[in-house]
Order: sequence, then C-alpha cells, then structure tokens
Amino acid sequence: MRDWAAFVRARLSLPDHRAAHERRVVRELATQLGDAYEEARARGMSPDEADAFARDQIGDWDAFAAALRDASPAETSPRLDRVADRLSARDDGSGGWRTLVSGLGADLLCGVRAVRARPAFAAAVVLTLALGIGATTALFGLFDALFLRPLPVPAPNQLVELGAVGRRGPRAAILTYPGYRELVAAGPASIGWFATELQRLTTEAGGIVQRRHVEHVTASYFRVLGLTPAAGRFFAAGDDTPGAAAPMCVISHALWRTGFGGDPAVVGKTITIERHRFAIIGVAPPRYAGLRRGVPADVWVTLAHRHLFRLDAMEADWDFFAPDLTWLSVYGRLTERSSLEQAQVALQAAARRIFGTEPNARSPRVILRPAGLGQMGTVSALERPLLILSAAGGLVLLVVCTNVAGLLLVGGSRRRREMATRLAQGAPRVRLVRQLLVETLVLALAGGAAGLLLARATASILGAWGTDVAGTQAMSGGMRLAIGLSLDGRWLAGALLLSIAAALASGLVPALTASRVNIVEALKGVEAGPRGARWRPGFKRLLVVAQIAASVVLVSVSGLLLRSFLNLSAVPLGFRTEGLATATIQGPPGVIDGPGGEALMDDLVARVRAIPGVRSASLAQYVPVSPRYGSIGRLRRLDVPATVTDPLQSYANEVWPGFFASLGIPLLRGRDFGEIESRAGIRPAIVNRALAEEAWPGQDPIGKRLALPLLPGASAPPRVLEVIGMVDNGLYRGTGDGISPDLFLFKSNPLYDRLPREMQLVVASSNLQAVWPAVTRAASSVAPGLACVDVETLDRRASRALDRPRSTARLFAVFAGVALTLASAGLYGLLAFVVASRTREIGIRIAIGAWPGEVVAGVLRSAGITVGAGLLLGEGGALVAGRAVSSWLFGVRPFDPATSVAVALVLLSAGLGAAWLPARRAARVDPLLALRSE
Amino acid sequence: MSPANAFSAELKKGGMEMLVLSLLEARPRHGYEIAKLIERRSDGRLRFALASVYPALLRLESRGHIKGRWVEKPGERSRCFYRLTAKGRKVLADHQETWKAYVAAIARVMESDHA
Repeated sequence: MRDWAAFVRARLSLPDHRAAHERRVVRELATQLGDAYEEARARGMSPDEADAFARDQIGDWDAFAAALRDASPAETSPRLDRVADRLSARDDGSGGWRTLVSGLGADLLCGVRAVRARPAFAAAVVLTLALGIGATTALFGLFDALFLRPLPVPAPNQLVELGAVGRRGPRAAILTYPGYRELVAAGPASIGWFATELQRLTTEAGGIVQRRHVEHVTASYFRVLGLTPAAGRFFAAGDDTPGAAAPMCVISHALWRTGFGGDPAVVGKTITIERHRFAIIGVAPPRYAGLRRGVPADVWVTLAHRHLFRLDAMEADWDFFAPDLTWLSVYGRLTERSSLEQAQVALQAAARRIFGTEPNARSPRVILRPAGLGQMGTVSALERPLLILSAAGGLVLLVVCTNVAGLLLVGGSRRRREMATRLAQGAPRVRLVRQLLVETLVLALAGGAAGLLLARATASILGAWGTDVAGTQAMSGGMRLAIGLSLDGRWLAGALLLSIAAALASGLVPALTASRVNIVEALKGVEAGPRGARWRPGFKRLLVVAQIAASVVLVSVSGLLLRSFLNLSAVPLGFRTEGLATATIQGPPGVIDGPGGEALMDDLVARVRAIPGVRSASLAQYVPVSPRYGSIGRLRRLDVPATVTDPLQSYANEVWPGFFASLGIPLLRGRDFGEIESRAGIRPAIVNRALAEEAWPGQDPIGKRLALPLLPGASAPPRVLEVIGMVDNGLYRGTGDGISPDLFLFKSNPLYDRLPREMQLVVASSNLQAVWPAVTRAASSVAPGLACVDVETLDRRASRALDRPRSTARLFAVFAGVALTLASAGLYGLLAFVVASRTREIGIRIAIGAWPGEVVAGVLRSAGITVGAGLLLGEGGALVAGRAVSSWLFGVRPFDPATSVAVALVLLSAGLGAAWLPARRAARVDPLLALRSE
Repeated sequence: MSPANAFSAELKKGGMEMLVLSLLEARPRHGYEIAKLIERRSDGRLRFALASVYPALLRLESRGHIKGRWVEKPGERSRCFYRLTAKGRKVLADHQETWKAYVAAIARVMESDHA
C-alpha cells in the first residue's frame, strides 16, 4: 500500500498555515485515505482499483487547499489574525479617532501578514527600495552637513556675521584690531562679539606632528558662542591683551581623544604650535570644530600670540594690532532684547571708526547677516555640484519607485480574490486603498531601514567626493577641507520622510488599481489579468519607459564624465612624474626665512645631490601638481612702449638651478640658472613659452626685461628682471586648467630679501624608497630643527589632481549602473507579463501555423517600442543634463554624438538581454497547453 | 437519478454542517466514518466526498462547535475523533429547531393546496 502521508504532502500545499496544523492535516488525511483504500479492498476491489478509489476521494487539490484555508483562518497566523480581526471588528464605520486608530492598526497587521505570506516578493521590493532610499538619504546627509545643519552651539539662530555693502555688493567684513574694539564699544550692550582668524599650522600634540587648523580668537569667543568646556576652562577676559598672558590654548574634543586618549588630566599639559609651547587650559565640547564649515579646527589660541605665526615672508613686518592691518572676521550673538535692525543702526553711526574709512570717502553700509551655519567658505562652491548629484540621486529614486510600482501592480493582480471578498463584505473602497497603502508603507519603512545602513556605508565615499570637489579650490593659507558625515537623528528623519514619499509614489496607483475589481468575476475565480479582455499593459509599459529614459540620462552623463576624465588623464603634463618625489622643508622661525636661509638651502641641495642613487635634486617655492601652484605676479614689460595690455599677469615660482632638468622640462632657448648668478641690479629670470608668446609675440625673449610692480607704499625702485632662458609649457596646476604664463625667479623673489618659511624639495631617483632616509638625514644635518615633511611622489600628486573628475565620474557611473539594472529588470518583468497574458493568443497562432520566429519577432518588437520610446525621451533629458554639467566636461561637448550612440547601443543591448528569456518562452509555447489554460 | 432523489447542491451544503453535528450527538466519530455514515443512512442519496466533509469538520472545529482528539486503538492506526462541545450541542439544538420549523412551514403550504 502506498505511503498516503507522502501522497498527501506532495499534493497539498498550505503555505499560509502554521507548520503544526499542516502536519495534523496531512496525518489525518493520510489516515482517511488509508481507510478508504481498505474499505475498497474489503468490497472486493483489486489493489489498483482500491488505490484509484482512495486517490479519487479528493479530485481538485487546489480547491481543497482553498477550502481548508477558509475553514481554519485562525491557523494561518493566529496571533496576528486574532488581533487584526479584533481591531477590524472595532471599525464599525462610525468614524472618530478610535476607529481610525484601530483601523490603521488592523491595516498595519495585515501589512505585516502580507509580507510574511510572500517573503520573496517582499524581499525584492524592500531591496529595491533600499537602493533608492539609501542613495537619496546619503545625499540628504551630505546636503545637511554642508548647508542645513547649524553650528553645534546653543541658539545658533542668534549668531550674526558682520558685513559691509560696498561697490561690489555685500561681503563679509574684515576688520583691524582697533576697528574691532570700536565695534565692541559702539554696539548695544546686549550683543556679544568675538573676532577670529583661521590658520593652518604645524602642531605637535601627544607626540604626533601634524598640520592642524588653528583659530586665533578674542577672549570672548567661547562665551559668546555659549559653549561649556568638556574639561578645564575657556579664556577669561583679558587673555587676549598682547603681552599680558602666557601662551595658552583650548583644544578640540577630537584632538583630546586622539592625541591624549581622553585623559582627564589633560589640563596643564602642553602642545607646540610651530615650535612654540602652549599650555592647554581646556577642551571644547564634543562636535564643536570651529566656525568654518568643512574645515575642522583643533586648537584655539588668543589674538595676543598671533605675531608668533608670521609664516609668509610678507607678514614679517606686520603689527597685528596696528590700525592699518585688516585680518579679523567678526561675529556676534543677538539676544531677544535687541533686534537686527536696531543693532545695524547703532553700528552704522560708528561705521567710520569701525572700518577706519578716510574722512572724505564714503563709509560702507553696515549689515549683519545670520551666521547660524558658520563661515561657509569654499563649501559654498559645492552647492551646484551637490544639486546636480542630488538630481541624479532623484532619478535613481524615480527608477526605483516606478520599478516597485510595477512589482506592486503584478502583486496586486494576484490578490484579486482577497480584494473582492473584502469588497463583498462591505468594506468601502477607500478602506481597501488605505490598507494597500499601509502595506506598501510597511515595505517602504523596511526598505528605508535597509537604505539607512546602505547610506551609512556610503557616507565616507560622499564625504570624500565633497572634499575632492570643493578642496581643489585654492584656499588661502593652505587650509584643507575635510568633510565628515556622521549618522544621527536628522538622517533618520530624512530616511523616514523619503520612505513615506517612496511608499506613496510607488504604491498609490497600484493600490487604486488593485481595489478596482469586478467582484463577481474575482470571486468566481476568473483570472481577469492575463486572460481577461479588459486588461491592458499600458500603464506598466509607461513605467518601464520612464525607467529607461531615466537610465539614458544617467548613462549619458556618466559617459560624458568618463570621457572627460579619460581626456584629462591623457593630457601630457609637460613634465616627468615617474621616479620623482616632493617634500616640504620646514624649519624653526628665522632659519629658512632668515638671512642665512639661502646658503642653508644651497647646502641642503648639494648634500641631497651627493646621495648615491639620487639622479638630481632641486628646490622650489612651489612644486607641481597642485591647484595652489604659483603666486600671481603682475609684470611690466620694459623694452616695449607701455601698451594697453600692460601689466601682464603671470604665475611666479622661485626655483633653484636644476629644477627643469629634474622635472624633464625642455629648455627651448637660452640657459638654465647657474649655481651662482649676479645679484646686483638686474636679476635673471626664465619664462615659459606661453609667457614669451604673450609678452613678445614673434620675437626672441632672451635679453628682454621685465619689472616687478611696487608693493603699495614701498619707496624702493622696481626690481628689474632679465630673461635668460625659455622653457616649454607645463601644466603645473593640473590638466583641467590649461596652459598659463609662468615666470621662474632665481632662488628668491627680489621684492622680499628673504626666502619663504618653507621650501619644496624635488628629488629624482630610480629608487626613491631606498634613498629617502638619506634625504631626511641630510635635511636634519644641515641645520638643527630642519625637517622633511609631507613626502609624496609626483605620480601621486598628479593622480590627486584628478581626484575630482575621477570621483564624480565614479559616482555617476554607480548611479547609472543601478538605474540600468533596475530598468532592465523592469523591462524583463513587463515583457514576461505581456507574454504570459498573450499565451493563449500565441498558442492559437502557433496552432494555426505561425512560425515561432514570428512570435519572437513580435516580442522583440514590443521590447523595441518600449526601449525606443525610452531612448527618445531620455536623449532629450540627456541634452538638458549635459548642459547642466558642461562645466565639468573636458574635451567633450554636452551633446556628443559618439556618447549618444554608445548610450543607445548600451540600452539596446540591455533591452535585448531583458527580452531574450520572455521571447524564448513565447516561442516555446505548446499550443495545446496554451489553449487549455483556462 | 430521478429528480425526486437528487437534492440540489445548495441544499446539501447548507445541511452538511447540521448533519455532521447531529451524527456526533450520539458519540464521537472520525472523519471518514462520518462521511460513510451519511452515505449509508441516506441510502446513498447523499454522497459527500471527503473533500467536502473534511473542510466542514475543520470549520466546525475552528468555531468551537466540535473538538478533535487523537486516539490510538490497539491494532489500528491512530485516528482523530471529533466530539460535540457544549457550544456545539446548543448550536445543534438551534439548527434542529430551525429545520423542524422550516419543514413544518413547507408541509403546511403544500397541504393547503391539497385541501
């Protein structure tokens, strides 16, 4: 006798039931079928006949399973069902808060139950949503960190920044120290003020030597900001009077953690800033990192010690407390008692004294701007790039939502019976739509949670992108941008909002469609979907067209950016980068930038050149590749009559002999600097081809003379330069900027009689790794305190210069890849649906004698129409998008035929790939099976 | 089958649960036994397949009108025997009242035609 339990198990599927219940049913049925078999045998039937008799006890297993499901609803999900039913029972349609809440609760539980009933479907929806919500949440996080999140101080909306409206519109005011004191005296007493300046200085803390951002502030800084120290204290009034106080500083919470391990006894310890010792008096609260956005400050010192940090040769004579030096940014806190207008009026009266305007000149208009976000700085340069990136993220979300909508439409058509039952029981259609939307919301929230994790993982990538894009802007004083993103409550709020928006966007139409069922047809079990006459794939097709169009836009932009990046990388720089390394040579104050500095540097170069393995070495003020290369100089030509185009503008660099040889820059005319050049009167200079062509077109530049302009207020005669050589052009700032005029001075700028604080060493060697320790030793042996820092190979520098185009191209490529994958999946789903819906028709056609190839052609034609429509729409969008990113493109126009063709090919092949399987299925349709599938 | 002996499907369905309950009034029985009893006692006019009886049993059980219990008799395979609960007895009594009233009403209508 047969194993009836196995027989039953093979035919009966009760996926909605609890396992225990299913086991009981199987066991019981097995017993009963066994009884039937034995009865038949007892009646005299043969074993085979008895077996058939028992098997026939249950004819239609699917209907039987359905009947069992209806018979024991409590066994499907007992707890959820009972609670849901209880909640639904409370919804007697009488309205009011109670019924709404219990109704929503029932919907929520139904949603969870629906998810558990079809886990694979739910997983697909959740993962897809996670991609879209994750990408947009991360972008929101970046946007928030850069442009929304206020400073982590109490009541940031009270902070204001002092500005002035001049000829060129409103700008932030930079005051002198006496001017600042006038401001404090003139402003209403209720307003607190502070002044600040930011520098990047070499600091040593807890044994780590690093360049960090240091804010020079008035003693009122922390008090006005309203911060409380995490340890120790802040500055007291009078701590910023010059000469009054010993060097003291406040360190950031981050520096406290990393440099001192959070040691509670950090107060009293010292750090050194540019080799000056400062005592730590306190630690700033966590999360506070200074005023300038994206530029985290680690140390705060008072203005009193600003004179210790005159890094530029230019600053050598500056008196920071004199009335003729502007250097302070000014901020204040307005309390509720004073208003912006009142304060501005009060300050306007003292504007002349505050700004130090000459008696006959017009004094500028004082304005106070809200400064809750702090100093924007170069971060404001990220606004447009971030908008563009957000638009791309938005497109990805669009593709995700339309994809999910398609999935939900298919899912909805499978639940028609359930919908019909509820409608027949008297539920209003609105209620049904609400329930379906809540189900979608459950999925969207799950997708949002997963997306949040994804966003967290990608946060560092986005932060790096932001740093790349904004950081390539040259910032004064060598400031470095560091955008850090951290997950917090604002991200959660953002993800929640996005989840709800996604749920509505993708779920509304499917909910409306699913609730619109013909009750009679649905209850009878007639599948009106693929087999009904009323069904059209129109809306689904529209969704797929939208997905394809969005993918086209993203793939096009991605292609343009990729080509730009490749173009940028291919441009020859004009100098060698292999086997070359650069380093910054730093020394204590007065060593390099003192009277003996040049001799020291000569000594250093000679020692480095003597190291075995070093092919050549040289020094320069700036080395490539860097956006900060070169100081801007304005030159006057002396051998030509003064023309309209004078003075010339050019980048200037101070170099040692051997600079061009080390970098492999060809000398086109004349000669390189020799070890010794005459310094009396006329100094030698070398120009590049671009400067020569601009200054003396068609002539030989050798022997021509240039004059450096006077510094304002200087009385010395202008310094004269004579051109002794011409080199070829080089892209020292990176490939994006193009050729510019370059001037090379011999070892020092004749305008100043000293070298700058730091010099850059260039070393060429076939084995840099091996020779470098000797180089470092040579540096420290030349003079005590001389150090070799920030070592980098020129290859790495050149690659870093391409960071922005590279990371932007990469980000867009990721977006494009995601969109294209989803769109292909959507297309596949649409075509599979179409084929399934027309199975009967296809079967008839094949039965009549149509060739399967025609059927396949039909499917491909259907695919082609959809892809073609999407392509057309997308190309239009790509045109607009290309224009938007035109400033990022290099060597390729926004409308680039080659890129368009490539994109079309990519899309068509993706479409063919998606169509292949459904087409094959269509061709393999068995006409008999198709005709019978009723 | 002649019209007089074949009862319509609706009538059958409606009455099925009542029949099951009444069969369990006397003593507990298992599913196959119930199906066979119905067929035998109606002289084959009411033939319910297992496919209809079993879901009805489960339905009655989920409503709490009957309760199933697995019983192992020596020499036989274990079977699930169903018995009436107190609630089930009450429901059965209601059903029987309704049925008697229905039958009486129909009889009255038909009689008045004769008279």
